[in-house]
Amino acid sequence: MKVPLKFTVNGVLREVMVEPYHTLLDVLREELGFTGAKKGCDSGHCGACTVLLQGKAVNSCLVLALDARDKEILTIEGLAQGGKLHPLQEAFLQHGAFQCGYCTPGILLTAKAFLEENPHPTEAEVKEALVGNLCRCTGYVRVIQAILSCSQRGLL
Amino acid sequence: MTEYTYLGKSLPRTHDQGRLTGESLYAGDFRLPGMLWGKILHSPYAHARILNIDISQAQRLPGVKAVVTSADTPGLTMGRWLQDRPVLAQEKVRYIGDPVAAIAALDQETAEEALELIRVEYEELPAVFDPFLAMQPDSPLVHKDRDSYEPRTYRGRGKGNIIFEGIVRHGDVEKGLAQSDFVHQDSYSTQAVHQGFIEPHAVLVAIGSQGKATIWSSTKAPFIIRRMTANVLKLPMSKVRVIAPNVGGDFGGKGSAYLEPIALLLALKSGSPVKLVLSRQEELTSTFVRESAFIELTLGAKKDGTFLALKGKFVFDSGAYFDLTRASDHAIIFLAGPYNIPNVELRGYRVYTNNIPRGQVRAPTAPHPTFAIESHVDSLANKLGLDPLEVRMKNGVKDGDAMPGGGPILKNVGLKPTLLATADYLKRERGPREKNKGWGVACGEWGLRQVDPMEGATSSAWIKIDEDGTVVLITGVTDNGGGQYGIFAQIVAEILKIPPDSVTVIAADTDSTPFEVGTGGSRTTYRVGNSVRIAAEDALQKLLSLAAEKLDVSIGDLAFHNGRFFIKRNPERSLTLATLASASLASRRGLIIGVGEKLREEMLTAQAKAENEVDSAIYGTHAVQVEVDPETGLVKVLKYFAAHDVGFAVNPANVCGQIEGGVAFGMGYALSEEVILEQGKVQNPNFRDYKLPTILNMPSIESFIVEVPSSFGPYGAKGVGEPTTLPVAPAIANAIYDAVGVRIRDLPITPEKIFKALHKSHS
Repeated sequence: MKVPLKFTVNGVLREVMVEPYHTLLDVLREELGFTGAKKGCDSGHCGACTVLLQGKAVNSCLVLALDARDKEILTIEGLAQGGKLHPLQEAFLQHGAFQCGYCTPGILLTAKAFLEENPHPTEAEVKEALVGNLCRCTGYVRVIQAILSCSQRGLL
Repeated sequence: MTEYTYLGKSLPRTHDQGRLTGESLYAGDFRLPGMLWGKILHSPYAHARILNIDISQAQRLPGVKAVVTSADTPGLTMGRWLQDRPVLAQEKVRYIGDPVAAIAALDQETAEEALELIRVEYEELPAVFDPFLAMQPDSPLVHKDRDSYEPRTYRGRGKGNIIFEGIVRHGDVEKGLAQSDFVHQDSYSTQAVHQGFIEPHAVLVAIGSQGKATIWSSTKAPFIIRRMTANVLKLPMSKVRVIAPNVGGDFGGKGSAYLEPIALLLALKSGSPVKLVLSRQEELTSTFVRESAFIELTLGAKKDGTFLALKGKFVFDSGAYFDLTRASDHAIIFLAGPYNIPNVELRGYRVYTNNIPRGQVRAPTAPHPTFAIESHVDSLANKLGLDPLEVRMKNGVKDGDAMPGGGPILKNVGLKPTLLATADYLKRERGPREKNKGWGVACGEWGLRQVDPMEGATSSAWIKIDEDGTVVLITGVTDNGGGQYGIFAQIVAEILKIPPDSVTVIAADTDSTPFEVGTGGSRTTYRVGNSVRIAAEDALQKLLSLAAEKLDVSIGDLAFHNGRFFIKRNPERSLTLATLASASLASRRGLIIGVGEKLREEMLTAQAKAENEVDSAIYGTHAVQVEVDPETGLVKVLKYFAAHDVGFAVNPANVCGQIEGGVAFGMGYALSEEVILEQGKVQNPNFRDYKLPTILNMPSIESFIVEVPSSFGPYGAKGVGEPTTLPVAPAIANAIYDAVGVRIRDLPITPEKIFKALHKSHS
């Protein structure tokens, strides 16, 4: 039986009806149309579904939608502001840090939360932070370069 | 060395910028009003006759709107080349995972619940999981009707479960072995791996009021999907439209119809749009993975390292269905590697079993023979006390050499520069020996066939110039991640002298874009790039001719730059692209359109040449440093170097991206990935136990681009997507041998295997 759920997505208060067993991923994608969070495995291993919940990177396929009640969510659609790319998005573009793009929203959001905690990481720390995001296309090399370039420029 | 404005530059991928913001849509992101969710019922048995399917209970479940089985189809089979596969199982199932029925319901949960209500009566049949047993005449037969499958005749068709058997012979191999100073014989085995794309197969099908189906599919080959889907369901092709939106990785796995006909049937029966998306478990149990292989090699050489003779054989476990675009005749060639070997006898067998089916995976049929020959060459070099890189240089192919077996002549061979670059790198990076650390090298080759006449691998491109001067490129190509649209924009930009960012690309819709066989084969820039070039040159000619007329000069008096056409000796007299385009539209000339097709004449000439020579084979050499932990067998890849001949790098950053991604792809094959099968059942159908390389596994990677131009590719371009994965596994195996003295000849090289080998050698 569906129950109401109120939460804030990208700064806007949303109200939807959800089943208790629905995941945050399914609700974001199917009820609200935020398809930027992707379903890669639905079991918490690939990170393509990553969104920020109260500023923390989570696998939204492992979060029950109801656990997001009254909380704040940031999806990839909310990263660029006023038509301007976020410095991380700009860095990914300049460094060629994406190819098919399916894992990219998850990686960008994980990187954003990470750099906010650790603005000047070492390469090893960047790799540790991103270990939960699988990418099949890039070999991760330019992902690391793009994230480090953001921290070095202090542009956050 | 030509200086270009846009070609050869590492321009950022602005055409794909939407992938950074969530704007770019993938097939599973589309939705339509009244849309239903589809789910497939898969066979729990590896080999069984279907006695009866009762869908009545499933149909009665509230929320279920359609249930389909093969009874809803015309009963035909399909396949990318060999048409051995029904849409849904007919009469029998051939592997655990074989699609048997499908459901469309109001939501995913109802669809899943309904699957359990479909009652299938099976009669189990003896199954065969070992390809060697499957080759025996008394083995259970996976496909008893195989001789009726299209194409009915092909070179190498075998008997019983043998899909293909072939032999390539040249010289006298026994004599060559007898004359050798050293002969090394060994065997190798490799595993099944999945393409590993992060986006699972997904389709959305909607049938319009005039009976025309629109299919949004995660595919790299919309035209192939359209043809296959229409043919297998006996629909006119004009009633099927396929659109490929953004594709979340393909690596070979999305070029053949699978979900599309099933979803189309559900849409027809339910009268509603149907979305069908595979779960990760379904990806890893019931799609088309790489064949596993058993390979034997016997290589004879003189004591100075010159190869004299090679005897080789492979047996491929090809699973229950076969979905490649060729039998395997070209795979036999890979056994000999990129080497000149005067006497060869190479055999190959591809066999049906009741295991998971096999299809195209990045560099189809190549990494297994490459692993074998590149490990083998090292072993022989070690036996001879010679440097493995030197042995490769000594025997490596060059211009004028024939392909193994006295085949076509190789031209524009870029192997040697990659070997030299690797030698330089090692001289620079390899220090004194360190305990448990080692270095290994290996080569790889790809692209040994020019054009596949069977699939009409020509391409076309159109350019239209809108009345405001905007240049629009129209192509059937999909971008699965490789950055093709940016590449094409760079080509158009160079010719028309406009910024690449300003070129709009419209793509991958069977209704509105020209025919295209599909992105892949490391041949997209090579094939389609030429069509794009010709289209741009055609548009340019029309612009120049109109500008000359309007400015009352001859074409030779004109120059152009940044959207402006002007008289060379009087540059103030000029016309913009916008003016020319509108003027053309207003006149009898009409819209300015550039048409690019590999012209018939050119195509036929190229084809004839292709049979006798290969000018765009792509070679690479890798070097890798590993560290082995002798207590656990764990391998850490420390440093990586990859040199690749790409002919001409239209966008060097893109090329490096393919190298880096290819190395990661190869590392998975080498060290951690395996579709683990036991009695036909996949033991690890999830991303926890099917181990893709993570960011933590990656070493630093140094890429080195070699450019030995091809005769046919645009600006000399060849290709790069696939060969970058080939040398990785053998280079790592060779490095492990250098580090701790054990040779693992069975992929993937897991810590257990190294541990066992280390302890065996010490006991």
